[in-house]
Amino acid sequence: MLLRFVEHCISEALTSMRRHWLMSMAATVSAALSVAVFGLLVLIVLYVRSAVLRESEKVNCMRVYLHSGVTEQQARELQRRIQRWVLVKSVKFVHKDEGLREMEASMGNHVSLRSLAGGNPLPHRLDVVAVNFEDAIECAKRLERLPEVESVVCMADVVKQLSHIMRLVRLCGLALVIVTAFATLTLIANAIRLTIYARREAIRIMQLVGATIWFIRAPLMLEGLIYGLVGGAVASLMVYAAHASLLRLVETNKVLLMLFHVAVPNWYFFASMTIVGLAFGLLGSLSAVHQLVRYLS
Amino acid sequence: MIQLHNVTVKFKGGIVALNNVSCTINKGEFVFIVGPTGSGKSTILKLINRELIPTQGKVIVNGINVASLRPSQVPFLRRSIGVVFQDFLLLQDKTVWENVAFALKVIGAPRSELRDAVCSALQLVGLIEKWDAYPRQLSGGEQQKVCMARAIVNNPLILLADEPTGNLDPDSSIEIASLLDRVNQRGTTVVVATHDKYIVDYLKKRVIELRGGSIVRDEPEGVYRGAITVR
Repeated sequence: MLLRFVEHCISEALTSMRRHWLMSMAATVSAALSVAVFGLLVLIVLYVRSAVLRESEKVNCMRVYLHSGVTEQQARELQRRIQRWVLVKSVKFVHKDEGLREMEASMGNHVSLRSLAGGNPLPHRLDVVAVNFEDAIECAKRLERLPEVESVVCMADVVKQLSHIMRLVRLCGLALVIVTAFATLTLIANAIRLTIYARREAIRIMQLVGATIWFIRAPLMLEGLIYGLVGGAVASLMVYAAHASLLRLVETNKVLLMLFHVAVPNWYFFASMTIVGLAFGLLGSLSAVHQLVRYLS
Repeated sequence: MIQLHNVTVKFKGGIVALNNVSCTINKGEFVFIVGPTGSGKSTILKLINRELIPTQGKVIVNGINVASLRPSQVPFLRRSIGVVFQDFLLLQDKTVWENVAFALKVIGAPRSELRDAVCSALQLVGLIEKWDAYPRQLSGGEQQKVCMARAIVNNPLILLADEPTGNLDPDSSIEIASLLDRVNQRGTTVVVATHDKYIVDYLKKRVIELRGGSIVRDEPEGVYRGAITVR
């Protein structure tokens, strides 16, 4: 019985697709295009996010200047304490002599600051790197409250802006993904609705001769699944091809290479696009078939 | 087999299709429901087939109150009822054989049963030689015979026919009437809604006449006369 049911679903779905091949093709192409747009959008969001994160690593770092009375031993003890904070990725102790050498080097080693100031005027310093640039401001505030700390130099404005951009990227990406997903679902649901309309006589006869609701709806749902699956597979190939050509273009162009220094998405990104297509097909056909069932009851 | 107890059907806008109708149709009976357009003939068939639910009253089919059936149970009721339509409702892209077999396929009948059942249904309606023809290649009368074959292929307890000769010439109408009679002689309860005088007078079966949603005549071996005066 179950085998016959499965056989019926497959044969009805394939027959309907063959008989209404133009409509089936339109549905599959619609699904492919919308899943491709969806995939491209996700890819763009990932690229932007990755680029922002890469830039953000540069501003995660804070310079923590200690009071001049803090000894090297106290500074190293403080380093160990800060290292245990969850917000902190690493802490490096910079001896005041090393700090002076860095400063002189940054001035081109033309000036001896020690002789000018009559000794080393700099305090010991800790270079703290926050785990996440979004936590850098919070981390800086906590560091400033420590009694040993004189001042904290952090790129607060840059961090704030980056934080803002990241939130914006996330929100816009999410909104665009939701809108595209909705459009994809609507397209697939409409394709199934058209199929239902084209088969309304057959459905009416099925209903009158005693076919169960599942017997009527299962082939339609399978049809939606096939549109989604094939559409998703085609879309992943399209996005893969587009991505590969973009990478080739970047590899031959040094300027672009600097801009697009991000990891290439691996194969499961493209495989998951097919699964997304399948899910869209299922949800789209569910929505169309749900209306049919309401009409039949 | 079929009982209607004080059945009233009201549609949106207050239109009354049936008004407090009661009647009983026994197992194996042949009944014509006659009356002018809008008198409620098709409504009775739709109530029996549970395409409609009464606003008031009860419709009992084979001991089951059809209004109390859950939507998931309705298909099982319909498997015991065959339906013939005025406009045939055949699938144009399927052959005669496929159209008849379709009724069995959708209820999941095994393939071995399917072949014999379709053969015997087509033999009964006299269309076995045209098994591979498409509906467009058949006359109106032949298309109605295919529709009948589809309705009886799973040996239903009840056969409902809604204006089965509405689109046919008098000769074809008499042929269809004879077929309905033959199906009835096999033990199937047959209910025909019609305003075709020829077939009613030809078969001389029980006639229930409706007017304005109420039964005005119920004769065991009736003719069409009452309905003619209304028209």
